[in-house]
Amino acid sequence: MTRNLPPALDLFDPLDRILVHDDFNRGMQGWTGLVGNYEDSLDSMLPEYADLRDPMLSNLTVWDTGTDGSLHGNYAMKLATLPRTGALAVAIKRLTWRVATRIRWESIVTFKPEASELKLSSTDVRAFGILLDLQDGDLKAQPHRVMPHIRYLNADESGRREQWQYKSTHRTVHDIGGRGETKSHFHLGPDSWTDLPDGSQRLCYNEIATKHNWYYLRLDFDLRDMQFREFQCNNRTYECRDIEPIRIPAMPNLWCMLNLAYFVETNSAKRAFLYVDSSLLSTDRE
Amino acid sequence: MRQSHTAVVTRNAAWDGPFATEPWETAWAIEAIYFVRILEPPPLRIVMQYRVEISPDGIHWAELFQGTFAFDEQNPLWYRQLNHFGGWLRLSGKVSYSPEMRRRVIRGLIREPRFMAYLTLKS
Repeated sequence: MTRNLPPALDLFDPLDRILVHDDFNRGMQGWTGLVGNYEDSLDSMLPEYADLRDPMLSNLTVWDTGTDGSLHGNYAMKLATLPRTGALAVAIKRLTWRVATRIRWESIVTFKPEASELKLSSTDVRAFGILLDLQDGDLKAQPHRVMPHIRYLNADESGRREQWQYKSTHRTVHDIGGRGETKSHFHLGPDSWTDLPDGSQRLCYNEIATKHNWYYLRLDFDLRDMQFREFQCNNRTYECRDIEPIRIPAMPNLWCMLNLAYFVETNSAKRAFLYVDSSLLSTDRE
Repeated sequence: MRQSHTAVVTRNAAWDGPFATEPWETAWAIEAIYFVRILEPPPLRIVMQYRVEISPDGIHWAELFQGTFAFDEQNPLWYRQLNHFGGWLRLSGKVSYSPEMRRRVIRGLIREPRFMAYLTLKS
């Protein structure tokens, strides 16, 4: 079928109903930072959440060639870590779902280390990734909170890795504060990542830290059985029906939750950046 | 409608001595306000000498303004209004305790002060 769509939409392959098309030339559009849960004091949050950095609007300006701009204009959403090995930045958008159906989340992204050295720097970003934070509806028997995570492990302390990974297990869920009302668990740690089958993929880093080439990502997930379907990055499509997302008992106030998040992690004492040009979430029409 | 955005550039930071916030991209905005709030303000004054810095690339920094915030129980929140700052902003400076304040912090009589810093931007 030929569709007559503007270029900013035509580069996506949405399902029948488009829920959200975020083009960051129009502002942040509901994307914000992630903070750990707390009670009475910010000191009560799990320490891994204390220094997560919030997203900003960027026109991709670099010291040697000036402003790159985004794919269809000036601005992209930028996640920037602290300049500390293992530091993370996260951006999240929070919705709820109304029909349990297949969902498709597509993105145009790129990642780079801060261009603070005149070196290749291609192993200075450890990883970038996407996650969904979902919960079944309140009428479901044996409901769950389900958290599909996928990341591109670009490099680690052993060097270049270039491997897609997923996460099926989680750390302990902690009580926060003393009233028994708030819980928290940190799910973005370096532990428990598993290689996606045949998930080795070389991307277009492009030689120096100031050249930005955009990538296409697509994640298909099914809210009916809370299972992965497919993941795509550029020319590679990964069958994901047999991999398990993180699955934990439902929490008391997250019914029908549908959260989307991007994250980036640095592999050196240098800031890592993930830029998101645009994001599109679509579903089957029930 | 004009765009606006409030960024939390520092959350619950235990600043004592030199500090610098992370770089923030501001190319889309023409006006900005840095707010700095001390959480649980102590009974003794805490002085923050600050610099507002601008940058062409987020790596190299030049001073745009400098000034002083003096925090106490009656003045827990300070601000600085800005315009014509280009594509990047950060706030840096130094937090100084009085000798009596430091004595009380070391003895555990006063909690080490924590700061929130906000950058409120408008197109």
